Amino acid sequence: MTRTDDPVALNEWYAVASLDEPGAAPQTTRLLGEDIEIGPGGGVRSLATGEALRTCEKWGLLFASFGRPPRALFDIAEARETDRRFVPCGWITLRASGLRVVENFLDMAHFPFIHTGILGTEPHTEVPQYASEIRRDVDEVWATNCTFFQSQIAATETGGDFVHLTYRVPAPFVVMLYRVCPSAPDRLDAIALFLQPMEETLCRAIPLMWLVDTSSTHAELLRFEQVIFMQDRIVVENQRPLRLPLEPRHEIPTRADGSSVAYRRWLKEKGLRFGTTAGAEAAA
Amino acid sequence: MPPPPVAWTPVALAADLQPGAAAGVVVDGAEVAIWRDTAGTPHAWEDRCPHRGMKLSFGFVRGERLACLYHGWEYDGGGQCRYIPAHPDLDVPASICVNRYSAADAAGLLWVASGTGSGDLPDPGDPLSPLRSLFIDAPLGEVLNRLAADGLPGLGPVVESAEDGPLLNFDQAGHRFVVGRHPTGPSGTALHILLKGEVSAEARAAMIPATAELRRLAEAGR
Repeated sequence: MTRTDDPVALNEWYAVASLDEPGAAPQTTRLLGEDIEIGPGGGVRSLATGEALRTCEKWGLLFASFGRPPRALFDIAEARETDRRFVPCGWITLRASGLRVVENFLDMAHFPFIHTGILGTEPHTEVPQYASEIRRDVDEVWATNCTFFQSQIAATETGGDFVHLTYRVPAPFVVMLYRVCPSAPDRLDAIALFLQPMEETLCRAIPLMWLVDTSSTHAELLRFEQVIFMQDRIVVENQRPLRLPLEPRHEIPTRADGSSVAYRRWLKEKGLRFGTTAGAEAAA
Repeated sequence: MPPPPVAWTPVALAADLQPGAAAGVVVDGAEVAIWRDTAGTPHAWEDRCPHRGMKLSFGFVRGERLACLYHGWEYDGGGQCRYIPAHPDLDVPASICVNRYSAADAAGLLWVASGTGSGDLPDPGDPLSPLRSLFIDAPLGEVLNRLAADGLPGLGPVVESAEDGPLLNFDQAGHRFVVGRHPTGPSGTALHILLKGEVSAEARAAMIPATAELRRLAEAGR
């Protein structure tokens, strides 16, 4: 394995470790095709060249970059609200492109089929019209006014109702979900999914949650996330090609895929190749 | 993704794909979804939903349609998308369809080909009893040479063997074996093994260890 030469991918920040993991010994992991070592003090170096990577710490995670990220990490306002419950989940490894995982996270239409009886149930399959856009001022992708009939929106809920969701893609390998909290309708639960792209078609993911919900136990929340992820794994590991195609005619979207279309357009504008079918062509 | 060969290739024992079932097979490197509608008609498609690339072999049969696991898009026997659950009232555009190949039942096997398929499908006349499909990590040529010379290990000498297009026939232990040859890739082979005539389940079960031994020897290259 060798490091990608994709400058767009190299100049991003990536979560590569949880800071609460016991750090007596160095950990070895992989980023953008190259093995890296995370030292007990939080330093990250390439095992191929020995060079040190830029690092920063936020939200209990260690971030690293091979290049020079043009801007600091984005902000999550909810993470600064001290009365919220912070729930870091565990890392999950997926034999998939991290970009396919982000896109799956943005997708509501699969709820009744993949998360049957949890996030959706037939015959409630319709995806009502929502808005998606590339926000030029912040260089992020947003999908707003999203609604979907869910049978069990969160670990606390047992009945079904329309949920109100907002999606945000603050970086190519990070995706967030804001949802109206059932127990405090004026506030939004915030869930972020950070992807560590290890190889073009191998990644690790860690979900972090900042919740208004105080009734669920930590174990219940983790179990809920785990079930959802194991179900999504079946999809993202069995899409063909495994890499995300950015060419508009390669796959056929419908109106429900507005957020996916905006995300792909945004990635294409950036010129990102790693984890896309363009990356495969460049490597060939 | 490359399509399967234009020549007919046996990809499964016909009895192993029940009406209402779907499965994924690899034919010379091509990923193909095979499925039977509830009437039993076989279909072979590119194993990729045109919407978001999900393998259609993970889908489920609903009557005369195959529904993709991911978003429930339903395709009719002609490969045309007829229903998109995210938009229940949408009149689905004719442009949304899957890449179809040819599928046929013959000689107790399920066959797949690109286009309409070149060459004739075998017609053995007599009934055949399915033994098993065997998947081997070794090139097809090597496996066939071994099989034509020695048959199944431990069942005694091969009296006669002959290639009949995509089938290999040989007589051993008082039975006539009919084997469908199926390359999965450059170094992978599937054999779909049948026996001529009505052979009891007990007699067939007794041959299973010999097929496992064939795989073991072929993969060890001995």
